[in-house]
Amino acid sequence: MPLHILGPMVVIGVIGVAILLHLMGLSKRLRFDESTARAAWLRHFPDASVRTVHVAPDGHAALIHSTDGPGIVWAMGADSAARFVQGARPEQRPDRLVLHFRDIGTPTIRLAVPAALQDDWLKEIGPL
Amino acid sequence: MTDMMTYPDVVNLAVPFFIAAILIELTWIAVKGRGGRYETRDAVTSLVMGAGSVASGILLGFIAWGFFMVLWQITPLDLGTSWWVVLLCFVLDDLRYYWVHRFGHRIRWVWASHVNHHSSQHYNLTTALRQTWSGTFTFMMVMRAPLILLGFHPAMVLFAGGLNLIYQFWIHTEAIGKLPRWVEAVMNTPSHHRAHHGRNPRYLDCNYAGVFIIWDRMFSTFVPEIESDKVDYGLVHNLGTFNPLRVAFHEWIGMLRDMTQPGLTLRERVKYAVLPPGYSHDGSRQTSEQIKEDHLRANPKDRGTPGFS
Repeated sequence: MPLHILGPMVVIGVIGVAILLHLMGLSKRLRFDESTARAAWLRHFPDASVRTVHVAPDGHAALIHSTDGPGIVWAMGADSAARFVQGARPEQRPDRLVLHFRDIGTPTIRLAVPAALQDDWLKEIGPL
Repeated sequence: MTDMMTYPDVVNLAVPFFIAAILIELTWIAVKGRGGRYETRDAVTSLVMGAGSVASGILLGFIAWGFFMVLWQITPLDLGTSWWVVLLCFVLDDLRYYWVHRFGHRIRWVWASHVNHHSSQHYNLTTALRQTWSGTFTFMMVMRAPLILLGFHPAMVLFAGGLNLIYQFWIHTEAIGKLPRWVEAVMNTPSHHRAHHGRNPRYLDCNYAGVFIIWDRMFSTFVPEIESDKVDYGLVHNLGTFNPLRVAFHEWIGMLRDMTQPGLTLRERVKYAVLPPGYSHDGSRQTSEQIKEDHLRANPKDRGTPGFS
């Protein structure tokens, strides 16, 4: 197929599918409560039992204290990702707490934690 | 010997079909309320990965083609273009695919290219298009050398590979359950391939087939999809990004970082490239075998069941 046909077809196809999915309401991010955050964490780390859960105010992430150390579980679209926070570099912004990792597959986690709560969260996370 | 031979570029020709099939699957899910899940950013990432894969083929395809044509000049054999030769080529190329795919899961250098295909936590027709951008750098093109040296023309071999890829498109769906027994016995099906995409310990490193599931049955890597162990799609450690560039290259960079960290012996550096994903020189990570063993310690009743034998 000539490139001048294939190229526009692919571009229009990708944009069209994206718009359609968004209009169908399929862009909603996963929300956690304590129980679903716990379950999501255990899905990623079945051997690291959960001690405590702190859900972020917007419900899109949670701080987990597990038997293997502190970690974050957060919404990746309609699904979740999770990781331990050792080695992260925290950055405090007015409206969010950002954790930077030396990991090309998870470079940052942006947590919607307001400034007033950030110190509490960092204290909960402990030394990085 | 035939130097010039052309076959249609079937993958590019199939693009309109891919888009139409995605819309049909999406409609089916919306109407029936079952049969899979779609999410905007995940699907867009998959589609962009597909487009990038086609672009990478256009930009880098000359390397493999040049290699194949050198082999074609060397070989004294020419099987011609009869229909049975094309059919035989398709079957043998599927066997080639099985081994390339198996290496893709068992050798980290090749996994670095293939991992992106498993990086979606969804399983729908867009997942099929989440293809590699870096296949050329795995050097798995050498796996096609025997076919060309046996007398199958390079254009025919690539044509067979294109048909194989198109076949695999439709099996990336949850909308189709199990097919009649004879089909499930011989062909790779949505059910078999769902198991392949599972991150559950049971389903790690199984069902490498492209078209014919018989290869997995022959080489003892077949695991059926089991109703009581619902497939959980994605990677053992799922990605925290939808950025296609990161999806495409994260494992290459991770592997190179591992190989170049200070204090390793040369042997350890090489092991990071050639041993299965999960290898680490200090035992800080887990391979699929270790994940399965851990699972069996916690769930001894699963020992001896499919995927744990």
